[in-house]
Amino acid sequence: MDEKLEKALEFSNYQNTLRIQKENLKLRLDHMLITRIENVVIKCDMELINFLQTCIINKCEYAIILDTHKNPIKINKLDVWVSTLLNVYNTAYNEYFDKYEELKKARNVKKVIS
Amino acid sequence: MKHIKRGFLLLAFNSNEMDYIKMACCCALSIKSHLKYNHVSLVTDNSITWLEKLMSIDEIKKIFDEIIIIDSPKDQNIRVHYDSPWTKFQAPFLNGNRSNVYEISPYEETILLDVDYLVMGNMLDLVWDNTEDFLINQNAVNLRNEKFHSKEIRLSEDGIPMYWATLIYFKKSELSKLIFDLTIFIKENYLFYKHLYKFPGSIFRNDYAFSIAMHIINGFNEDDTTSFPNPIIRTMDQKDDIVEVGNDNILFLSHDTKEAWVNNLINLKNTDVHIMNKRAFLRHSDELIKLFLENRKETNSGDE
Repeated sequence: MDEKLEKALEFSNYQNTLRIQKENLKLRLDHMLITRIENVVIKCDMELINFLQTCIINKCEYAIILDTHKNPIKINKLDVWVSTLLNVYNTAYNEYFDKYEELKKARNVKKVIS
Repeated sequence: MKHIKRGFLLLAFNSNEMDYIKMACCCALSIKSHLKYNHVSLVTDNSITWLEKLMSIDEIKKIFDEIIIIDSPKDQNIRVHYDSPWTKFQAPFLNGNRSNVYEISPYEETILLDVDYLVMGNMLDLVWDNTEDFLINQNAVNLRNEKFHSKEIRLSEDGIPMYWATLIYFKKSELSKLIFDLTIFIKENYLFYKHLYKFPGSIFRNDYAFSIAMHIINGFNEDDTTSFPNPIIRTMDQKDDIVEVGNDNILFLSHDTKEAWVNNLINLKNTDVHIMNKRAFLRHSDELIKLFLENRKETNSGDE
């Protein structure tokens, strides 16, 4: 095989592996953002954290949100929820960031999958 | 009869070609090494004698908390399997008893798992004490995060969505009993439902029976609110291979579905995976058993 073609194909394989591993990191992030608080299974995101924090600032006594099955849930302990959600969010995104940085530095297939 | 609070139910019936009992050992130990609630029951037939030859009673007790012996399933389907894109073979598959698990399960809350499903993360810990009585997933992707071929998405081109019976959660409740009873009825009248729902093939598939049952139970509507917290089942295709295994990760060789000779290495970490290439699974089963045994946690069924 022509050397230039061989190198191009090798790079193509590397790019494909890198793309799949990046997608896997995103899926792992999605998993880590799903959590259980007071027996409610919920997907943690910035919108939810900000909404609950806004409720606290506006002195709301409770908030209604949707769980993973789209059932409405009444939350009373807003501060506990915000603090737990923040922890879940930061843990998940810190891991995502660290692993993503490692992937960015990986220059061959062996390092990408390590 | 007093039920155990929560646990996993695995069904395994060996054939001359496939050692489902050994796969069940790997599956059970993957549960025990990754999940807080990890009580596991094995449902089997005379395949148990094989297990007793493989290991001592003490070793078996480390893997399964209960063993339930039932009659061998009467229906034996011959299925085509692959081991890489270039090796094709046929093997019998005894899958007829899945609909009966409602009665068999010793648990108040059960997760029914295919034995070729490996638990590599802790997502299933979120399922217990669910607001829903019955959970089953509709979505599956391959190792490259691509959607499965169309016949694994809908029962026919314009048909109802397919649910994957690979992973089912149920509480002992009226609704769950209704669904399981309905799947038994569908199984008994499979040919009628095959023509009504226009799905391909003549082999009985639990996925199809549960899909039809879900469609009927949901008022003949499509509904996706009964999924697990992780709604997507990650599936290794029969034509993919396993390169090496760890306690929390598996390195796969995944082939391109359109160009079988284009392979990529994919490392899955802390992600549950449905291993469809059974021979590849069995090639690594001894290693997996050893790894998971080393990381096994104490049994916990959630009972006080």
